[in-house]
Amino acid sequence: MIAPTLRIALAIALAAIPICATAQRHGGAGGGGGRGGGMHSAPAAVSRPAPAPAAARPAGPPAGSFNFNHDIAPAPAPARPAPAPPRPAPVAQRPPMTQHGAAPGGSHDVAYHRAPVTSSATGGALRGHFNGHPIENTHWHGNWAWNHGAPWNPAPIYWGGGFWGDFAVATIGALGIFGAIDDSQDGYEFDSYQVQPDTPGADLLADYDLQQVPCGPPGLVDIWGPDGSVICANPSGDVGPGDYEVDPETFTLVPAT
Amino acid sequence: MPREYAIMISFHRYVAFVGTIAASLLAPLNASASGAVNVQQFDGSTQSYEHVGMKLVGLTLFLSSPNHKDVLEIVTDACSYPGGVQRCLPYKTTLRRNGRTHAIELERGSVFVNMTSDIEHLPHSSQILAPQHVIVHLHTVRGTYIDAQGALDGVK
Repeated sequence: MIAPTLRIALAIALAAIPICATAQRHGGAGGGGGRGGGMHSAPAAVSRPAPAPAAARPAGPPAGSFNFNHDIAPAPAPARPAPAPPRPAPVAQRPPMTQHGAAPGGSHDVAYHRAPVTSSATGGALRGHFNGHPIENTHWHGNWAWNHGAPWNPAPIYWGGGFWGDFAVATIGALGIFGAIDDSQDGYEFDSYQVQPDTPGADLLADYDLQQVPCGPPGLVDIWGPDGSVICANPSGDVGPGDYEVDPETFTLVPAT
Repeated sequence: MPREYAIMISFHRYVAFVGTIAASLLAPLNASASGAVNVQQFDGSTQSYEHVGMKLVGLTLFLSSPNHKDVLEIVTDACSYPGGVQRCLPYKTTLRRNGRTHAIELERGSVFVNMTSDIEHLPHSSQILAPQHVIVHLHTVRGTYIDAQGALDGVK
């Protein structure tokens, strides 16, 4: 005969077993498990394809470990080009900065810890000549005041270091180019892209009451940003036509001389 | 039901109960960690993790797996402050496992952190971010999507 207290304990055990399930769940589309308002209410910072039926999955790691096996596996060897019938050449995606005859732009170093605020290519043919008197930004005074006092540094894998938006260098060729500036002297062409809202670049344009337009035509305000990026705007009452460089510390435009 | 058979079943349940209690005491889970991570593989399969540790050191976020065996290090920069939250762009991700480090090449992503004492909205979103909480979206070059959110266990 089993004592009533032991029966109660057994009942608790039966109820407790499902609760103590493992923390890792496989195969379900639901994120966050039992967390109310979990992953699916998060804004989609990056668009993603709908989950496809699971195909051949890589062998999973031990329970409770992150499964990044596909990402940490050695890169597959490049496939040997097979002979193929001749076909029209595909339209090449242009990197953000291209040099005629070469393609130095569009690549990045994974181990890169900190990028320079301005690369050697910034400013095109005018690099080294942005020595004019800065046009005062009346909205901010003091170093990094515009960024809550925190220094802003470019993130290497983004066009312009992310100053104008989170344009991934790896896929920026798929975006629509918003004009370009041809530096015929050095043989470079600097592609431009549309500035995203709620970015330092958008705030800078707003501070100077500038409206972005596609680069190319003469008589525009050409603003050279971090890492060889450039955007263009119509002149405003504060900023006349010409070339300017962004000083990220003071959030001002420095004209070329 | 014969009495011996009933006793045998009860004994098995008792052993399961004791085993469950022991396992819950010994399991190396981040019991106090409230972070959650969802990983969508390139082939569409997903894995969800709870009890993920989240620690912010400077501009680097560390996510530790529920079993403490893995640490995902996310290095960010280009931080700005749309609204009241800090938004940084991740550019380097490393997985530490068994004393080894593995680079995970990123295509793009965002890391939102609310270091204020107020609930804040993410920019252009109805999603709220509680104080001392973080939301992470990553997309790797090999097609993996990583979402994470939860309370920060530590800030340095």
